[in-house]
Amino acid sequence: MLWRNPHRRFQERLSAYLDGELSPDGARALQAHLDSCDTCAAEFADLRMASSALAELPEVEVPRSFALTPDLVGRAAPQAYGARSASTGFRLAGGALAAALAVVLVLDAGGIVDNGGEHAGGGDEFRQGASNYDATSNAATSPPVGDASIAEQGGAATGEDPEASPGIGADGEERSFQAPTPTPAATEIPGDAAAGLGLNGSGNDDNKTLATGDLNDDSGDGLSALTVTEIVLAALLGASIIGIVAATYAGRRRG
Amino acid sequence: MEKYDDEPDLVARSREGDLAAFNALVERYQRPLYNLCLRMLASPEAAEDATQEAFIHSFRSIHTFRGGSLKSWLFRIAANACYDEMRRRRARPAVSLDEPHGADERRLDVRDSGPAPQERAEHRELAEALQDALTRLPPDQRLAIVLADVHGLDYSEVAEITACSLGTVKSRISRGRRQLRLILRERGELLPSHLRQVSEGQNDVVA
Repeated sequence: MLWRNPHRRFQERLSAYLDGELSPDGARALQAHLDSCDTCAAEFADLRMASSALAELPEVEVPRSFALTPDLVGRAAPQAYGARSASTGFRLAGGALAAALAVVLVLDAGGIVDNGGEHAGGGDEFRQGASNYDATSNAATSPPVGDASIAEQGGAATGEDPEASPGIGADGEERSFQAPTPTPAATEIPGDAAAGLGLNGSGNDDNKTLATGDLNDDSGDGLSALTVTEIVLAALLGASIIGIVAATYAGRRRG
Repeated sequence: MEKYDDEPDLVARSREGDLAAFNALVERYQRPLYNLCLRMLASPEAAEDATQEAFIHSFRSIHTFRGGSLKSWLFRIAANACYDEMRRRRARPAVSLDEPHGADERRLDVRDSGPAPQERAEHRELAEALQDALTRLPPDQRLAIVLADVHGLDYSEVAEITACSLGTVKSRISRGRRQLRLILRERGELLPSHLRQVSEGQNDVVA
């Protein structure tokens, strides 16, 4: 047993010794051991045999020339590597969309929307920051959609006297639910979706108005744009997920 | 290994998309690369695919070559192409890699002109036994052994090609060779007499 450990330690170095990769001291110590240990000497001889047998393996001639042709380079490029980068592109796009959707959902569901951005109610710092962000994100992502499809609702909301909105039928319960807790995402989203589809713009408008505690003329417009942004983003996200799956599948089949 | 003076120039021209310049490099390195792939994959068809893939990839990424040994850089790409090929064939095993005695004879191609038929047959058998033994090693050990023993590279070159530390290279070669030794021992009668003598004889080292 005492013998066993140094023995193994030497055996692990035999290959490096064979290749001349041991330090001079290590090589001397190992040679001394080999001189006195038949087991290690036999193993060393075997290793050397294996190594020289491999070294003597004949080099095989190439079966053909591997010279590249323009065709080979051009064809191989999009096939082998283009597919990979396409699916990476899909993934990036999906990630970006998911992030954008998350931001919009948080802003919307949190009832943080304050359309002007210049007067945030209550001096709430978070709200202030968020509404500024919202203003930019709206500007960047939604104007075309919002302008096109929500104009009607916006018009209705602006046309209405703010005082009159509490009187709008079905909103009563929803508003009272909404007022104490301005952030339940689950209750908020269906209403928004409906608004985005042009079914119930004013109800949604009302929610927001209460949540921010600040009535604003174009709040209907901003809200609806936000909602539409959400829907569009969700749709794009779904499409890009399908794209990722398709690209991955195609890549696997090809590979 | 030989040094080529015109290599930097060929690389520079390849970088600019000069296919002819790159093909001069292909001409130069296709044989070692193909042999590396062949020892790794044990199948001429797979080796052909991997070699071609390696050159295509090299051409397309030659701008990432930062000087140093072009051969090491190419070997590294070829080794990766071999790993890719192994994965591909494992996923779709139309051609089995576990068939070292396949019908294709090219692998056993021993073209040294001259030796007597019996000696030829002996060589052939030995080459087959060695390839068989190599194929049974884990790929990482196989790669290290092939680079060190078949291609005669030193440990630092193997480390560069495999992107491993010297210690890892040392341990892979050690484990791989010990494994190989056991496999070969089983078929010791195959070994040509001069190698058998090595195995029985001297333990002094010329290092």
